[in-house]
Amino acid sequence: MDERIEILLPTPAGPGAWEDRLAALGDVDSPEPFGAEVVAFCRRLSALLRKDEVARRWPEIQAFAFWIRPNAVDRLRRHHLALTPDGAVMAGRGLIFHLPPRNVALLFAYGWILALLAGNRNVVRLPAHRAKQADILLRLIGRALDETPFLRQGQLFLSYGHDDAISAHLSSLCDMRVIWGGDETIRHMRGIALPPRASELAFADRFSMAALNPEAVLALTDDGCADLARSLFNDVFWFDQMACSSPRLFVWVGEAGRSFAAGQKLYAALGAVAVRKGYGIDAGTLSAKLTYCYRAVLDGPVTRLRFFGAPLAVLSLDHFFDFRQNVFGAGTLFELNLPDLAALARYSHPKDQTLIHFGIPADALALFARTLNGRGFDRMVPVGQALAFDMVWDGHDLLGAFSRPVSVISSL
Amino acid sequence: MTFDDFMRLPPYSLAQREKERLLLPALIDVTAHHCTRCPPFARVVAASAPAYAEARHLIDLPFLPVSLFKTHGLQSVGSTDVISLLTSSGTSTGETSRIAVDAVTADRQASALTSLVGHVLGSRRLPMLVVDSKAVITSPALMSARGAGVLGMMRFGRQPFFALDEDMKPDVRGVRAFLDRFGQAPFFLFGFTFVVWRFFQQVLDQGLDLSNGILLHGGGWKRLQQEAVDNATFKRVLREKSGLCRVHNFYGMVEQLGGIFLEGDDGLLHPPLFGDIIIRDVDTLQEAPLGQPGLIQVLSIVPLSYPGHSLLTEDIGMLHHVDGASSGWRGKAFSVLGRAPQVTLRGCSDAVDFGALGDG
Repeated sequence: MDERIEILLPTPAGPGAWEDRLAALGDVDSPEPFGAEVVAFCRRLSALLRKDEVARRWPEIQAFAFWIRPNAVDRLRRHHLALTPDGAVMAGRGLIFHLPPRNVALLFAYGWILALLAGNRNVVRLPAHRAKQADILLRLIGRALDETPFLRQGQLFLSYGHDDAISAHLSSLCDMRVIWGGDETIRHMRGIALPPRASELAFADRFSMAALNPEAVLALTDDGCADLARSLFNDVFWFDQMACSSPRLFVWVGEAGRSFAAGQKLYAALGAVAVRKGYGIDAGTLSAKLTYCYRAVLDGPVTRLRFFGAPLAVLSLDHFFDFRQNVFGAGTLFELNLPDLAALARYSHPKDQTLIHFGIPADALALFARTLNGRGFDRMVPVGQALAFDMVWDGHDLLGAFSRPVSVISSL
Repeated sequence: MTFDDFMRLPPYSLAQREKERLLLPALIDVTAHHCTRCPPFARVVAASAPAYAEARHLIDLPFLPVSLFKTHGLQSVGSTDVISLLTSSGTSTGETSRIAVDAVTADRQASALTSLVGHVLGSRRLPMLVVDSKAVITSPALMSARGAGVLGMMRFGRQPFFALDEDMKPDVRGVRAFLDRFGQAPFFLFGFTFVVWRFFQQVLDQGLDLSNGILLHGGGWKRLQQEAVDNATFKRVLREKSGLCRVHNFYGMVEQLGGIFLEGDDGLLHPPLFGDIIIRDVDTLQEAPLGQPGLIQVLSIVPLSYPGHSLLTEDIGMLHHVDGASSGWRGKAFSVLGRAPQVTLRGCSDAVDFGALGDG
């Protein structure tokens, strides 16, 4: 198996070592949940990421560094404490096997660090073709691990190609398997057995959208509109719009003519931000995107196709059209005009995950959440926060999921 | 100006400005023609360029991404009028373009090609050496692009001889006989670029004298790029080994038959009068400046039976100059840099490589 597997961390990896390393993972102790070592490790890693010349150039890496800064870790610690049942002690689950997605380059780090903080040993399987920022982050995680020998032994980052045998071996050793999407992968991995006592956490494919108030957009000054566009740029363009929480449909809640005017204003600003930020699309992606858009015009109720520079394509829907199974990223937005948010509830689907919003009053959101009645949406957040990682993800409290409460009843 | 008027003008005779002045209204008319006859095309135009009739520049005209012909039956004539259904598998995906040609469009394609090829070969039909096997034109009901290309070109030569046998091996004895008979005066060679290159690799040291030949070749450089053979190398080897120095590459596609882009003496490709090229910048989708690569859009007034008159290709090209060719060929001069790489954006559904499904 050795030549089919690449050990990324901890370095240096000796030849033929992966099975030994794996066996060793069974022997080493798990860290204490939110113990001094893991907390210090987070502080060190956060500092490394913020100081590193290369890492500083990547906003996604800086977002992760911010997410594990001491204050944030302390907030997580308090949350972990609050999760602890009366008369119980929170322990880790043991060895967790992570299968992060390819599309969201850094998601692996969030899942891994939460599992580590909760007191687990981890095997993280990464794709062979990784985004540049993933490798930068790995390099610095490696450096932080090297400084923390106790933690280092219990963490393994590796990469391998199509190989069910390796997946099966890793699965047979773990206490929990985490599959970060999507549907096909979950279906496939479910064919690979877990030990009887192991559990699984799986995140299915999701779909996200935005609700915008045209009056609020039209009321913005040019500067205000540019600010809004910058927030939306992060929501729409990070990870090439391929994250589950990347919005793909903009719902304008209001009168049709006003919605059109607000759209023209906002899209022009968003397209300009994308060009200014140098959001580049290579020719192949652009070709595929154009083809996707024109096919959507031919196959769906699309009345208008506009480009705001190559990065932003906007397809106007005449009425709601379920394209959840056939999406394209890289700045491809559908838009729909609805008289009120309640009208959206009719089209909601359990697959819907995130609703980002702008200019929608809190009570309207709350009413909408109640009328949904189980038909979709796990989170509603202001624009700019679509991709903010939350420890509650798709309805799972991750720290809780990575923990095992042990009842401790004293005889004294 | 009618189609026949365009055909009467020499294909590279007008400066770009003058050419666009004639071409723009003609292309607006062709767009309107397809809008009334091809409802899906009308949908695209209504969504993407509803005001095309007031277009001031060629770039304002609506276009179709060329691969739509692989997934949608786009035609502007009734099925009973279709005399040939051309197919091409342009990419590695295995999907096939289907192009419906009726008698009118077939005529237009023939006239267009005649005006271009005649410009290079002269008005007399020359003896023709086809650098391919006869098999490509004698087989199936569905015509492949290669067979259609060979058949289309055979009309410009006489007494054709196929340089490759049924097994695609060079018929050196036959070629010698052809040259003994016709090699002392101008003759016409035609073939697909990679086939021509393979042929020459195999016969280079046979001492064939092709110095009176005029070679037209096209079909793309993709296979030769892997061997680091570019246009300059190709021409040098042919010249040194066989004396063949009149070599014209061309760029064309089955989706726009008739309107090929011929290589002039400057080594660059030139759009004819009845069509044009637009290089679209990949950041702005607007026209790219000279010397900057972009996606190639091809325009032609030839196709009436299917809406192929304005197509955005998946090829990357670059504009070199406008009205500046030393050869006197006026209008734009461009080169093709290659095919844009096929991409798939990864969604969550591609979270890991799952072996059984054999994903990427």
